Amino acid sequence: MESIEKRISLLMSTVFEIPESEISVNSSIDTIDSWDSIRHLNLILALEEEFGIVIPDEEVGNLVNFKLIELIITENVK
Amino acid sequence: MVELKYTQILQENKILKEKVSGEPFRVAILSNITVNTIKELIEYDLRRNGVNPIVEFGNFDNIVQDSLEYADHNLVIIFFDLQTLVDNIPGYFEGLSDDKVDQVEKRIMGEIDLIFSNLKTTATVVFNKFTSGFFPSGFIKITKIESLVDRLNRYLTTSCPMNVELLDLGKVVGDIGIGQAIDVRFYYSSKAPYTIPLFKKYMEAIKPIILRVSGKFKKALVFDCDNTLWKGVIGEDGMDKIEMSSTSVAGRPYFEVQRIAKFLSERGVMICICSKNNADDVEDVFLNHKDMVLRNEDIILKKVNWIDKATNIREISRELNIGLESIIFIDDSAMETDLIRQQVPEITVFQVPAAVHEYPKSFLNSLYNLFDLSGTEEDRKRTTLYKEQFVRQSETSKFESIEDYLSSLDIFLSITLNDKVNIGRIAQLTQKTNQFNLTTIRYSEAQIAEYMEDHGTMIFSVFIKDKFGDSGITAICIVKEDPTNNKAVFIDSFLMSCRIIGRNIEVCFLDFVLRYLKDRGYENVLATYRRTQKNGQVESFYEKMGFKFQAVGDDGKDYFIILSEYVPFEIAYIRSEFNGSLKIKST
Amino acid sequence: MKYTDIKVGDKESLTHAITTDDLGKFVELTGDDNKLHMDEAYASRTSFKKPVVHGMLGASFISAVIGTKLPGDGALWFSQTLEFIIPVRVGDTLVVEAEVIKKYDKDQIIELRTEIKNQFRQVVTRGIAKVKIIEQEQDVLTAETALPPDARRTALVIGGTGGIGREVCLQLAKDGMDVIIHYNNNAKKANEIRSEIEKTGVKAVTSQADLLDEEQIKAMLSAAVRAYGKIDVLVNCVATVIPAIKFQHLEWSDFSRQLDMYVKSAFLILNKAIPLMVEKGYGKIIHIGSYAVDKPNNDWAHYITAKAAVWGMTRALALEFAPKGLRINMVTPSLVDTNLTSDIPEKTKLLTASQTPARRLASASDVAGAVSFLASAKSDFLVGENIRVNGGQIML
Repeated sequence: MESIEKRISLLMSTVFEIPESEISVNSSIDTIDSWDSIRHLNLILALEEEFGIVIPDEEVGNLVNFKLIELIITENVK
Repeated sequence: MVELKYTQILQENKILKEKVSGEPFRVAILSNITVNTIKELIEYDLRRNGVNPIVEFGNFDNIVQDSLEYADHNLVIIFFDLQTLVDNIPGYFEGLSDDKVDQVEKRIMGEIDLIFSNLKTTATVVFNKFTSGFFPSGFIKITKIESLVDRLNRYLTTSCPMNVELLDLGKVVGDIGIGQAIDVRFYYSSKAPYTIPLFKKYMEAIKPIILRVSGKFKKALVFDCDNTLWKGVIGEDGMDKIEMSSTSVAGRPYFEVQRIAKFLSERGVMICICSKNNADDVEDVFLNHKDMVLRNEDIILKKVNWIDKATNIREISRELNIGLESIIFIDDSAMETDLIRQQVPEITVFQVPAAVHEYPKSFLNSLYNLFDLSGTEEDRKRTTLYKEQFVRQSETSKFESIEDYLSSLDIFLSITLNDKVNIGRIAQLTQKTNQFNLTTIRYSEAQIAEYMEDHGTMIFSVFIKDKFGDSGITAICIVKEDPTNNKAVFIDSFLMSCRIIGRNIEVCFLDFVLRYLKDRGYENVLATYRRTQKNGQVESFYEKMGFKFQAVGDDGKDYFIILSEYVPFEIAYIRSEFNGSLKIKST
Repeated sequence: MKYTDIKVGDKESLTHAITTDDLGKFVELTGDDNKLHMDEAYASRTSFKKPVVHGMLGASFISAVIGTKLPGDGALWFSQTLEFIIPVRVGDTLVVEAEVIKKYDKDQIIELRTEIKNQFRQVVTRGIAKVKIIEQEQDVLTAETALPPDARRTALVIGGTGGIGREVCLQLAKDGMDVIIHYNNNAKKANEIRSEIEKTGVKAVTSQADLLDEEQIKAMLSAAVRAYGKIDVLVNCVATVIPAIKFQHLEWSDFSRQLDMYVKSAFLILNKAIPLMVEKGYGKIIHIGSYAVDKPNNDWAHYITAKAAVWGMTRALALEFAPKGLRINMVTPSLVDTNLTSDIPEKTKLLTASQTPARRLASASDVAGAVSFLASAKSDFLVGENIRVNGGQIML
């Protein structure tokens, strides 16, 4: 199983329809043009399915950049 | 699709996007909730069936107005959810007076009427039935919402026009459970109540419609034998030890699957066998095992040998004259299923689950919706028809020339104009025929019915009979008057079931149509060939028939013929008879 | 001293014990080797019996008193009368005193009674000094301050070994200032910073002091003045880990600890440093504030109180000393990623960054940048200002 970081990277690349090479630890809602509210919803659904977790309500709005996503996913996977 | 993760579907969709092209199939989704997540799932399903989709969403909660704007799309799907509506009504719904509930009901019915009216010319509309899934269930006493839902759904059923399919969304939700289907978090934040599991299940539910509009129903089931139709390996365990009895715990799942297969064969699905075994061993089971449900008369074709299954399946496809994508292959072996997935990727592959007790349910869930079971009487007899065909084929070698052989068949065509009784079969043929089809235009029953009423359109259908039996209605020609020139017509559709290819029936049929048109006083006929991946064999049909080119391009050819110049072929060995028109043409 | 500051009755003195060495130096300097001063044998045959110290040697200490104490700088000593009353001998301890007895306002002249007494309190020398006070003229209306913009400044960075302190030291050294790196316990760190600065070819010094000890503060400041003559810039970067304590668990001692750390220490330093700056007619004092004063956190009541007090002090003192040429201002950063905040969870930091318009946390060098401005001549018209360095988290 690949690392969490790699899985997130791949997933974001798929949902936002950009090449994986354009995703980095500094990627955020500011740097990815196609990251709109509909894709944000799709992102959350995809993350929950991929990792088999439920992201708490209050965290849903915090998933705005790669580092925070990695952190929150890691917290919830435990 | 359920086995794939959402992100995998997104990726597969992206890959398929590059491969699938052609006339765009436009889908519009109108809703009063946010369902945008379904976009890629619909695109994926359509692309897998060779259709090039454009999926658009209407404005949020603007269904009535949008129904006017998107009426020209090929498929319109409507999610009319009560939750949004109830949110806009002040006060708690259960506390509303009966008068108020009545008002709400009348208003919704009014909107439904408008929507249906606005969409009356749309080819296919899917209106999801109302559900009360979102609201607390009244287990003992029905709640106001639930009764409203009941009444609204009844209204839908009674007032729903022919081009509208009602999809029971409540059953879809129920099938996976409300907890799995609805996510309140996203309803509150984005008005998006439905989850990915729900959307995937929805795609399963809507599959027959997708297959119908894309003309992609499956036609054949190819079964392995050992541990697929029975428990055990005949070559090792012998007749005594293999099990498929309804009373044995181990055999029961296989019994049930065989029973479903038999039912499908009665409905026109072709059942074939592909097994690595000695032919005698397998034959023994089919003939002599007391618990077998499927017997030889249910099986079209058996490939029992030691050659690799990929080759066998390709041969099946060739011999049955059906495309590889119409075939479903079922095997218990991961190696075999993998092999086919890689070698013959067009085939739909199903592996018998390791938890064998889940086999029948899983089989039903995955495969049932892939067949067109709306079948007519004819379909039921199709197995017999195909068998007859094989008898015919095996007889071919006896004759010296093809012509002789064909004459000996005693082919008889019965041609009818605007056969209202058989609208279903006619529409079905336009939807399913891919190879001998000059323009590949799909029509729904509603559209065929409308054309039959229309004075400017003529729909010819051919009922075919020969010495071996009836093939039923297997050829269609749709001719339309040119609105600018009442002496000219054009051939909108000319298609024939692949079963009857190779007997020059098409020549005889077109002969008849052109003679009929000439008698009626028309002077010019235009025709067109639109190229697809499947219909290469008819590329030169019109040229062979004597038509002249008007234009030639990469995607097809346009033709014309002046009727006074047409020289009929007059195939001697095919008799034909015109049944007249069942529609009285008023002038 | 200024003429206006001198009052009749003001006194200054110094004490000196006369040694053989002193005598030798005086003889060598003046060439007066009269046998009465140098030759014991000769002296014994006179009525003095023992060698006598030159009267002028004792009297020259009057020069020191007038020149460095009363009135000190700006003194033009133009008249002195002297009477040598009792002989001075090697080993005597002289107390040299000057007292202002008259003032002549018209010419800005003071008259002093000068007296030298020995250890027996006998007056050995007596006289009257007349001194004119020369003052530099100040043009009130020009923009010039007492310190020309291109003059080399001396900066004392209190708490120089902290995360912000270090960046401030490096930045001010880069700006061309002589930096004094204050520390209390972390001598090693202070020296590291000093080496770092000196690698750039500029000198820096370290200075130790416990900020709650008046004497140590005084010593630190005089050492600084001795080394550089003045302190132009004082930056107070004192900081420590902030203990999060719910109010119901807070004791007064928690409050007072914070008040000591930030308010008392600031007071003690300023108490000694401000007069030095006032004397020079120029000074830049910069305090570091806290974002939490604008936007409070939970469990930080004690800390926020202290930091809010510092802000009050900054403004009060800014007002009072601006006319004297001092500029007292504040820099208020938001959460800075340093040792102090290393306990704060990574997630909180990431969230803060993502909610900040500038999309990152403040860095120590961001803070040092603002300090640099306030330490320079560029901010000479800013009085009691608070520069917020927070990436847009609060915009006022």
